Amino acid sequence: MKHRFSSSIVLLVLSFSLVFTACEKEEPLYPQPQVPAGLQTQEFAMGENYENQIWFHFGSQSGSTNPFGLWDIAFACSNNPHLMINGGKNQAFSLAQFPGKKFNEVGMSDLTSATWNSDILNGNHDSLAFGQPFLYESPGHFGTKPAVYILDRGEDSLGAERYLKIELTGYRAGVYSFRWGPLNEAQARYATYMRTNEEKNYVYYSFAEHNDVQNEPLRKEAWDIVFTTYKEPVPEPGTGILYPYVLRGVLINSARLEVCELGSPNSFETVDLDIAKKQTYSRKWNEIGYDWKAFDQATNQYTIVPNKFFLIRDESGNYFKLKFVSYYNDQGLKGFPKMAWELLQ
Amino acid sequence: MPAIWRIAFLLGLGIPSLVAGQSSPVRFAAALDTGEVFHLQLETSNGGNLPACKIALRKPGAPQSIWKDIDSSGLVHFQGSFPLTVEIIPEDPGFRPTTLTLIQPKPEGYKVLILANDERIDPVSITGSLNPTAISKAPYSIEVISRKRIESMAAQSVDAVLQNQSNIRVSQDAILGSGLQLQGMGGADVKVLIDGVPMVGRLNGNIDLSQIPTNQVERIEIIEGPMSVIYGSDAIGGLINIISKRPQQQQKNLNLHSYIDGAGWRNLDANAQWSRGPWGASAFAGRHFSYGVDLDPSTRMMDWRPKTKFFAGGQLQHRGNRSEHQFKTQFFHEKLTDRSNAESNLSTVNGYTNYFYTQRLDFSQNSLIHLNSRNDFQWQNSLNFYQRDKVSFWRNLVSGEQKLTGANEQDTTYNQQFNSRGIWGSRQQRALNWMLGYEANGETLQSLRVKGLRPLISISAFASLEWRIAPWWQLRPAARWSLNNQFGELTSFSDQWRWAPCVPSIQSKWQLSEHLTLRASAARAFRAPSLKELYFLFVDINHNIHGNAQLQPEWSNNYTGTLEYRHSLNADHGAIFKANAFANFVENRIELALLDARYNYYQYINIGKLETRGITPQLEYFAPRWNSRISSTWVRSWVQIDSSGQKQGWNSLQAVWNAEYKFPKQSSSVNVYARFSGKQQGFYTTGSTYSIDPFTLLDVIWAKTVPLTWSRLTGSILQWQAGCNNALGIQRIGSAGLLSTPHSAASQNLNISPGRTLFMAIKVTL
Repeated sequence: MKHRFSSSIVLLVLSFSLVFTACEKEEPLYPQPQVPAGLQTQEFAMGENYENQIWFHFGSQSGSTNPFGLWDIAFACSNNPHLMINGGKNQAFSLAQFPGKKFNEVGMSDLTSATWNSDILNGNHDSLAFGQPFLYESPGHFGTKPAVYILDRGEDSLGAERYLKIELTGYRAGVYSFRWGPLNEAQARYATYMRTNEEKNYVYYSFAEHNDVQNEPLRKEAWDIVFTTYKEPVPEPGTGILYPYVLRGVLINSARLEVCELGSPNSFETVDLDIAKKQTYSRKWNEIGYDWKAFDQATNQYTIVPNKFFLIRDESGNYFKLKFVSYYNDQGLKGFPKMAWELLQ
Repeated sequence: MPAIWRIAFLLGLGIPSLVAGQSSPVRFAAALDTGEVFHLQLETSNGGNLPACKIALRKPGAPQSIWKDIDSSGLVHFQGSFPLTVEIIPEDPGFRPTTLTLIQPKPEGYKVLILANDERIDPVSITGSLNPTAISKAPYSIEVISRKRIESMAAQSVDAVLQNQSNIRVSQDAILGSGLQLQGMGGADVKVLIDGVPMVGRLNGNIDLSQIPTNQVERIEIIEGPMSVIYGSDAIGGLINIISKRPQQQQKNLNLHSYIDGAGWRNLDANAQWSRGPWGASAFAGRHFSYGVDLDPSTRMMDWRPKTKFFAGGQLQHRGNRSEHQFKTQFFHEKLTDRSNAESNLSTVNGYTNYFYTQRLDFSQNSLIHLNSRNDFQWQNSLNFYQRDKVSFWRNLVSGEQKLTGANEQDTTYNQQFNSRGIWGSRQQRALNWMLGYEANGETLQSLRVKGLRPLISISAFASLEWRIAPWWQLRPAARWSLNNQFGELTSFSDQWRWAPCVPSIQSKWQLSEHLTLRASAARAFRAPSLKELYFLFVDINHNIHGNAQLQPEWSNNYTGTLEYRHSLNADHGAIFKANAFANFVENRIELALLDARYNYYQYINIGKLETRGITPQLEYFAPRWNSRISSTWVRSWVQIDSSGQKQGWNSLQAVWNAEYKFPKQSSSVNVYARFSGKQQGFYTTGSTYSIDPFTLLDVIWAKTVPLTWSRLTGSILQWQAGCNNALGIQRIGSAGLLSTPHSAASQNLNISPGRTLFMAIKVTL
């Protein structure tokens, strides 16, 4: 009995001691990462509020930064005229088509029947909000399908000018013509011409400025990818229903690059030129896109999706492998994606 | 025990529980002359300490009683003339109230046995009534989890206790804590009270019950189905009332308790109680700490986050001749550490460390005033403060340097509540009993996403009538009327106040035979929109989520039937069979709905309908050396989330089994708790569905009691507990579709438990 009692006391003291001394462990430090030879890295400062876009060229490993959101619609500088809208400006920024209508026939009452669209940046002009509004007439000359477009600029602060109506009137020898005005006015307020620039992919127009604005800071041969804000429909998990969502990601200069996404069972570390040459590549503008990162609702933080990387083939036939390694800078601010890439030889 | 006693006891008719060496429990032979001094000697039927009692002496038919407290010896002296009615009310609900009539004097006095309530066959409840009532006499079906049962589980917090109830489904979230479902309805539809005081600080609708340590819990009372008439909003699915320990008269003791397990928990807590004369006091304090559990050590994120909890509190009690008062305060603090996975950006390694701090501070006052021999008044006031802070650091994991992240990553939520409740009513001794009450409740919420200080105020009156139409038939209609500042029709006297619709209920109880009881009820209940649902605002370039100040409450119609068989074969054997069937029809469900996909515009709206139907059979048998309980719950749920009328439905099944075997010679026992959770299903407002695979958990617990014989500790008791939690070693189960937004990362495995863990607990009672 005495022995049992002594054991009890010993266990009791031991138990209480263990409990008293328990506390959260200090987190051990991690070793400094070793960067393989040949691997290049760079951080791209979009900014915590994504105020910038960064245009980058792999060959020169140089880039250029300019503010995001200066433009509203963009006109293609190619022999295949088309338009884009800057859906990334806000959630509601979108376009509705009213085919067969005349400018003065479209008004505020049409908002109720509007079908709103944003661009889907897959490189297919049919997937753009404007669709294919031009009709080929002769080399360099295009007419337009009869239609009026309502642009929702998505900001209540614009008042009556939140909704604009636009009519495209033609494309002649590298010059787009269109007219536009507030939706609540019967007649067009402005008739405008946009001259294309053969050194750029697009020229850009701002309704606030009533004028063209600069958006591509580099010649079209001098950039491969752009970190920017854009919008596209994202499938809701489970249902697959598409909802438009403002995203931050990477669009490619499809005139210069092709991209292939890879994951398991391949790994970024082991993929080589032989493997790269066997893949199928895409020229979709959003092939790199946004989903190399994921947002954790519980912690309200972004993480890099593990083992998701890309192969790139440029117009010179060079192959690169590319992955994203972080979405935060060393100060912990989001909007600073860091990318690592290597030329495959 | 004389046969007639047993019959009286088993009939549950409230007939006196009295022993005087006579054959009748009601009448006593006596020899004292009228007007002379006589005495009563009170003893307990279980030989334990006499509980604090009030005793009243009254001439039959007289309205007024003379009330006295009983001293520690149990000896009471009276002077009076015969016949006399004596009413004895133990303060401890573990003992039964007794009423007896003394018709003749008796020279040697009277020996009165206060019957210990048998918690196994017919425990006592105080929820929904003014005074402690045996649950067999209550008009609604009540489940009581006794202190003994809580201790047998070695449960450290209330969520661990409730997961062994078949009618409750407990879920765990790494950050938000525990959530629960009752009758197929979520935590937002379940009212959680501590000593009758509603808790604040709901996260996603749930009260985190893991933040309530069991060391100060005396018992837990669960009422399934609506209790809105008495308890107001949120009591749609049911009500959980957590009853704290109270100082017992003439008792002084100190309990020290420690607990260690393989899941990293290191707990230490203590409580003490003291009483002298009419005064009693108790205090408690503790620290519960967990290192957390990492099921995948290759990642930085831990599956079960480290937690540190501190808690303390105290209670002061005064028991006067005609009233008793308790003043209580308690404080709780929890720190949860959440680490993101490490990300190497090739030049360094970074990661987030988030700290979630939760603090609760509660003050309450509870008074019971015996207005006269027939009526009591209970008055309760409380103030509750809740604060949750998120502090987020960006940490360089190579250098160890860390800095606060942006202002949008930090958040503080304040939630405060004032509650006042008064109930005036008659004791449940007569054919017609009544209860009138009021409740005033004010709540405020403030957070990063709820701008300004938003109050939600309601003032209610309620009434119930308990009519014993026949000895075997009891009917209880009740209703509640409310004014509030949020929903309903505007009043004629102020544009700040609105009339909420009347909430009625009716309960009926039939005593079909000596052991068989049938209960049926129809009740209406409501859940007022929460302050978050009313005023939430989160608009940035990716979010467009709005509260809705026009929200109306959710309304529910509930129909419940319960067949109950309670049979105590003798003092050592008994059986309980209970079958509960229910149907809930909830309208105006508040859902966060996507109203405009183009703007990504989400808003809380009244749109959904929910129907749940189910049955809960339960069987329990106890014998001198063993007892066993098995129960299961089947629920069929249908949800309609839009105006199309189309419903989606699914079934869920849950079962629990508990068995205990005692080794009297060794003063030890073994308990087994097993629970099966069937496949869970549901869907989001977008129409996407999710499912969670079935799983089974099994706990085995050994307990032993050792009396201490060391000179200074003689009379003290040492209790050991050791065992294995989750003996089957289930850690993760499969799930599908548990996603809510396009940005959420897919997770196919859901953490259920840290895994098979051994534990040891020691409790010393000095």
